[in-house]
Amino acid sequence: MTSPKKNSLKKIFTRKNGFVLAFLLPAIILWAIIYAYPLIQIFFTSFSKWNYKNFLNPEFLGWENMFDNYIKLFTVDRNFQVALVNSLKWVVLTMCIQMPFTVIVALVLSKKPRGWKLTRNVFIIPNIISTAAIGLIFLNLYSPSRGIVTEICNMIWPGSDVSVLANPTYAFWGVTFSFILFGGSSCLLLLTQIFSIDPAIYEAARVDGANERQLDLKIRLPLMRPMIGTVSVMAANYGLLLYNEIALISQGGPDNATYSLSYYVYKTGLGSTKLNFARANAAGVIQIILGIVLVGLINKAFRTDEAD
Amino acid sequence: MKKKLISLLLCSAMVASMVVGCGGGSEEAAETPAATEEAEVTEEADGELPTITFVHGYYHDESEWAAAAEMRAIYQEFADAHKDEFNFVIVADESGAEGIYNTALNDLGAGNFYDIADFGGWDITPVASAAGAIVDLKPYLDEDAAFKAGVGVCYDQNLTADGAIYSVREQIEGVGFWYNEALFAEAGAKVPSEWSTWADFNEAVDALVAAGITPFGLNAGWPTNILLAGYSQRSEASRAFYADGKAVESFDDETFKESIAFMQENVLQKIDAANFGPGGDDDEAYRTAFFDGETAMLFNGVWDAGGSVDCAAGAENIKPAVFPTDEAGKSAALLSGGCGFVVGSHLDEAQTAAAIEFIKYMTSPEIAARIIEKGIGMAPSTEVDYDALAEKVTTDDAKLLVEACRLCQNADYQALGLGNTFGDAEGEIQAKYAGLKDGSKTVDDVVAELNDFLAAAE
Repeated sequence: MTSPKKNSLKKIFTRKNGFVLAFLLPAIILWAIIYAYPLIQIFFTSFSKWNYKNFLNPEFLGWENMFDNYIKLFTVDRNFQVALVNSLKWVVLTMCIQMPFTVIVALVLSKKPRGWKLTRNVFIIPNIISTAAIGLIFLNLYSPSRGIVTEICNMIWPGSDVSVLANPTYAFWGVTFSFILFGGSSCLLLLTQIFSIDPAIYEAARVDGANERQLDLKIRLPLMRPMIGTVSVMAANYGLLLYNEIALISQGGPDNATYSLSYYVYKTGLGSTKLNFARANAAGVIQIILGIVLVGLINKAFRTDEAD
Repeated sequence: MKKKLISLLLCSAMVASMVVGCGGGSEEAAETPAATEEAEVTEEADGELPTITFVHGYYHDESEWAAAAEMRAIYQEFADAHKDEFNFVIVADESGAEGIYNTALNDLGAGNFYDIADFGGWDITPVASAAGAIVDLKPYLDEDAAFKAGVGVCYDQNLTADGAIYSVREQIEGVGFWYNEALFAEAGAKVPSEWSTWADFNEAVDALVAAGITPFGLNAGWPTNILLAGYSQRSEASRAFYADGKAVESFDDETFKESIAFMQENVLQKIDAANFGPGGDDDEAYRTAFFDGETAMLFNGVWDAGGSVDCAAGAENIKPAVFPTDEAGKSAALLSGGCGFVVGSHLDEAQTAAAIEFIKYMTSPEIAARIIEKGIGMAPSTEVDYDALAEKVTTDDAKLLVEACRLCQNADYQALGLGNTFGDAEGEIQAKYAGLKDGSKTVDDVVAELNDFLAAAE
């Protein structure tokens, strides 16, 4: 007689399940090696002293001082504080500017006005060229000696000689505009979602006397909700993880006004002669936590896992 | 059946392309100078002689950067001259000095290190010495006066607090500045060669501004750092604070505050925003403006003698200069050795001797003269005969380079550049220039913020 436990194991390892497990196993092993192990290491070493002096052997700070790296981040490390605030600002800005803009563009294009395919393709271009090229384009746009932005400002406000990347306030917006309007990929996903809506629903609404605005507000937008949630997660994460644009356009300056969390992690860990990996990892842990919270909040707000 | 056949054909085509692609890549790689050298030395390495591998970042093709080819030739001559004593394997890393540094960091993590490598300014020594992976060169320098003279300022600059020297270089960053003689004449300003103190600099800047000539182009980085470092050599007290560099515990120092105030009032606020770039590797508008004849001074190293060739400003108008001080008639220049040759401590006695022999060769007066003569840069050696060199070189830019090197080498005070002096704080200092320029920051704000940085970095 077999025990109930053995029976349940047998159930799990049925031929079908075993087949599925065999396919999943390589992915799980790779995930554990490539992601899980480093994540665990980052978490534990964030409670250690680990820099150029003990490069090979991170030392645990001790139970009493184990939060030292985190305390320093929030109390004395101005660059981290600027980076944290900036990253959160970029998350909010992507949600408040990029997402509504992208949704509006998708709604307009979904009506297939004249030239919609060309517009869609043009809108996607910034998302298919590398951020390195985007960085160079914006560097030239903002150049005080040859950039068009300074010229335009001088036309509106003679003698202003605005140097976007040399002024802390302007530089933040300079970096922001290098990515905030580029929602081409999100737009494509939203368009796909709109085009998959059953035309019969529109027909029924029109029969009931609904106009285009009502179709947008009462049918398209509600049915787009899960996809809006998904692309919001992607956009907000882009804002939180911003690195390339900063490294290429402003290098965190001027006056470190354009630091992001990712750039801070790089500068503290590898971009400094002190190689302060422990502090960088502490910032990395905070970034990971923020990312998880963000995904949770957005999923909850858009109820992405609920079927309509 | 038809589908299967097409799939099979496609697969075969893909595999064939891959094989051909890989094969082609190897052939191409073998054609590069670095790979050719590597292939040659691999053959040589077969034998019982001691073998060491030297890694450097001069991988560029001659057409791209002639200096790189010259450096490779210098290395190869050494390898050939010693082929009966040891195998000297030369490898050009196509990721450059930064790549060599990053590779070394990874290697250190695994307990390894290069035999000998040229880090080209990327300072691996703090982490590598803490890991016990590199050789202290000081005993070798102390026992050989010619070797010590060959490394020049590198000896003092690279001497660590624990009395070791982990790196020396065959080239140094010699930095003063360049000026356009014609623009100074047009403004009726005294030229830098006639300056006695910094007051003359201020007068000249005012005269240039009054004549409608932009005195200099700057950015929130390199050229402005040069001027700040140059001004910091003006008095004994200022030099003393500056020399403390990475060891300073507070920026609340009168001489430092004076330096920042000078930068704000006499430098940054003398130029318009169009001549102040954001900084960074791609921001070289300040150089372009100078060689186009739009600005009167350029704060950059001796190597920019090459920029004078066919420039719109007129090569005959471009002159080198070093910084004045507040001690009448005394001058100052920035000579930064930084991290260059580093030898791994895992080598045996014969291998270490070969590595030291190579560094001696690279810092010898002959190679130093060749480095200057070929327009590669400035050598640290105090044994270089600049008069003979000036006679020997023929081109105008080479003559300018020799003159600039001579001025730097003969300056009364020689100091490290801002980055080598203050380490990570250099980035924080340069971050303040924009605020100082637009007046949103005061000197006290800068000092307070820099002190916050020190506290955070502790």
